[in-house]
Amino acid sequence: CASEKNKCPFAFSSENFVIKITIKRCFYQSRKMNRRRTNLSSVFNIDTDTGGASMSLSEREIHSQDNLLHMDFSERNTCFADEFKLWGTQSGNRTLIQKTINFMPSRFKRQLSLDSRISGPNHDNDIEEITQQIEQNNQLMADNPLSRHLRIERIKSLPQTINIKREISAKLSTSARNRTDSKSISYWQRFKYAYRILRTRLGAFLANILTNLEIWYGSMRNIEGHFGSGVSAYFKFLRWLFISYCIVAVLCFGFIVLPQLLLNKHHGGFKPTTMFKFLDIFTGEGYLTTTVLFYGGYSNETISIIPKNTYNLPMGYFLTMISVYLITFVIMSVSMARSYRRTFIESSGITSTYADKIFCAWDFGISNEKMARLAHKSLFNELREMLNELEKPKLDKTFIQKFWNIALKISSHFLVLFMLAGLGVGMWTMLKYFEEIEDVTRSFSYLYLPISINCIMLVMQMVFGYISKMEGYKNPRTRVHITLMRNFLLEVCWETSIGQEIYRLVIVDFVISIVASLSLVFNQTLLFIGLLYSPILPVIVIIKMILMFYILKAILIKYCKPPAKLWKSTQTHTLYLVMSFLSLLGVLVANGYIMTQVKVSKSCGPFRNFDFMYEIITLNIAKLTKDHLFWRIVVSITRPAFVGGILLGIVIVYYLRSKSRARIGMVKLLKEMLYMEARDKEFLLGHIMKLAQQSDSHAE
Amino acid sequence: MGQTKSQFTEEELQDYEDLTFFTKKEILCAHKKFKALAPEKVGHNKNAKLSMHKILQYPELRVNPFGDRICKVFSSSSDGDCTFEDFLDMMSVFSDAAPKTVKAEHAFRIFDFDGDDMLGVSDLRQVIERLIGEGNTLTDNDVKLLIQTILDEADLDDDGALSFAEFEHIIDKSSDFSNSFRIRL
Repeated sequence: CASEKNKCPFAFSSENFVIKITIKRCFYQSRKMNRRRTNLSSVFNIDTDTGGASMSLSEREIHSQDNLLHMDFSERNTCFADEFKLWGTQSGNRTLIQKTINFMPSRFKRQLSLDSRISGPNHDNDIEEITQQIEQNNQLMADNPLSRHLRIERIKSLPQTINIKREISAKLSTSARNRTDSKSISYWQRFKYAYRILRTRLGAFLANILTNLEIWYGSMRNIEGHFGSGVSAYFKFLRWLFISYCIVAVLCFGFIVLPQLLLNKHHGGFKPTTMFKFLDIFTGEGYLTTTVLFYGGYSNETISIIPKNTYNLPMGYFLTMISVYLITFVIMSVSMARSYRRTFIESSGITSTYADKIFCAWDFGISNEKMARLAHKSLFNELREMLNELEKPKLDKTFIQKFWNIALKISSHFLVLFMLAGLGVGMWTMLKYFEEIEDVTRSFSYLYLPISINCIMLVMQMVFGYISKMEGYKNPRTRVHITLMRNFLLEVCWETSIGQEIYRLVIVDFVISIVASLSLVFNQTLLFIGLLYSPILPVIVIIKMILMFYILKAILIKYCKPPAKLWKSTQTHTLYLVMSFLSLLGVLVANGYIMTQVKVSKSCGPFRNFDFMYEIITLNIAKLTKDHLFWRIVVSITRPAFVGGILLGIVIVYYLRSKSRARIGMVKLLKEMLYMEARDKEFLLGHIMKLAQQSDSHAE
Repeated sequence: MGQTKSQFTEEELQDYEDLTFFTKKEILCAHKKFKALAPEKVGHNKNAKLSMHKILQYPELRVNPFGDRICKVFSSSSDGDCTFEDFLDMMSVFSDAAPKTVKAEHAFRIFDFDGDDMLGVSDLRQVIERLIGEGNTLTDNDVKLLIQTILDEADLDDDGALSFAEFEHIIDKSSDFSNSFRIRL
């Protein structure tokens, strides 16, 4: 090393005592090697330059990570020491220190993946190394399409340029073809791989189709570029709901409405009971009462238009409804659970708000000057706020202040609940009042209820917003979330109407809500309550959503400015999903109750022959009567408390499991870091000792 | 559209599909965007190399404070000039289909200004300065305090800089990273 200069920081005296102390000191210094880089490089007189690390032939032979780490120590020392001397005498590509650090075990692993973005003389070395590294894995190197597929997946995630990846892929293919020692894999393994490939291929195929179909893509991109990902989260949720409603509509239409329409045609056309009035579109009364729009328009016959094929309409109605509800429920609960896990459970534990802000705050999707300037400004403000928090000493709030805060919050919660209760009572009396009026303006009076409901909701939304401002929640995001939840509670109170009421609400809500912000969850709740009684409702809701999207978008672009604060959208998305899930759960419980406990009307509808709706299954398919043993067991198991307890248990188990999963990941990371730390320490100490011995022998 | 399709053969598209996270349609769309940056040059040679200045005309990169770093990281000649393959690689990593680990890998390189495989104090300082924009400044003490807090939070082995493992850990915990680190085609 540094033969030209006589100075060498590793010049030790031959006394053991001094050696030990200096070794210790050098060990501690080695930890700060990064910072001392400039000093030592001047000592060793090396040019700094960027480029790949060169590795000698011997290093390339010892290639796999495992070998390296468990290698015979003396052997590594020799290679490294030679290299070290070499770098010392010629101007290398990097500084001496950097190269030393790159040889430490913890860095060596990453070296192989990181270092070769650059093309140049070391380009081929790196390709060789990566190829050899992958070849270690027998699974990827067999000569069959399964391995080929796995290889492609592996190469895709390498962080290299496309050129390098191409060469690696070609090399791997040739060596895979030349392999003669591939042992045959067992049937089970083959089955597993085939399944994985099938799933990935299917996923890719679907993705291809979906990118073709991705509706409103241009608009979404526009919104995201101008307003950031927070606002676009709302529109994404809207689009997701829209697509799920389309599927529901197709199912309902195909299995319920279409057969009924065909039946009507078969019987010789539809015979309306009254004349059609324009107002009927809004009230759903009159002409529309006996159409396929509502439950009453469906017959309970078994259709046989095509000879020898029968279609039992009531069965179709019931089963389609049940399956639609269940499928939606399952999908909703799975997405909610996944989103909740990602946002709240995995990121709990040690929080890293500052690092998070620095690295994840800039939204790379911003494409607009003004928005970028706003983003800079808002980030600056947020950092300023954070710094202020850090700088001022933590004042413990006095007891009085804490008490006042808590009292304020509790009182506002009570205020909200009280208002909701009051409104409920008010609505109930209004309903009763209108029942007693019988006059010509009957059709208009039906509209009073939905219009008043929507107006009150508007007013209440503003009131809730004001209340939450008064409460003084620090985090503005919390404020918005609480307001959202209160609005949600507001809507829950109005789940009292069925069929015609729902239809009316849907229509009027649309008209009024052009003016105000819309609630997608309210829409969904209405849809699923009404679905049982009005199979065409999804179609109406779909049309409504399309119009909603375009109108909202127009309003947004024309009248709104981009938000001053950058919005973290994932938490809001989770909240939307949780609210939808809760509303869906409520609807399911309500409808389940209606299906099993409420007597069916005898004069119309597809279930006229039965007492309760669910009997269509039990009596027709299973031929179970009330006294059957099986039925008695089922009834006792599905007692509400029991089911509720099971559900609660499932939720708790899921929560705990996700928490433990996140912790396991953290433990793994820390274990690996500890291991690498120990290896680094061994490596550096060994070399220091070696160099000390060498300089000793020089000195003598 | 017919003209663009004829510029690439089926095997080339399949090749690109195997090496990136894009479907064939998205690759063609990416080429269309690339061509829009310099129509005549790309018309002659579909894999033409465009200067960094031209690449930074792409809307999302132009307003991005790390635009030049992105170009340097993805450029195969590491001076910022990108061929179409580099551009495709860039868009593929920023797309929705790329897994979080790949994104974290490249984010680390983008933020590593001095290229020493660690996010040291100088790297963090430059990141902060770029994030807050030109008009706004924080005092030196403030920046020091901020950097110290970040290192306290994230530097698990206490060596004064963030290694890739620590960076990846921060990214794992952040639920917003995948949403922010994304450029739609």
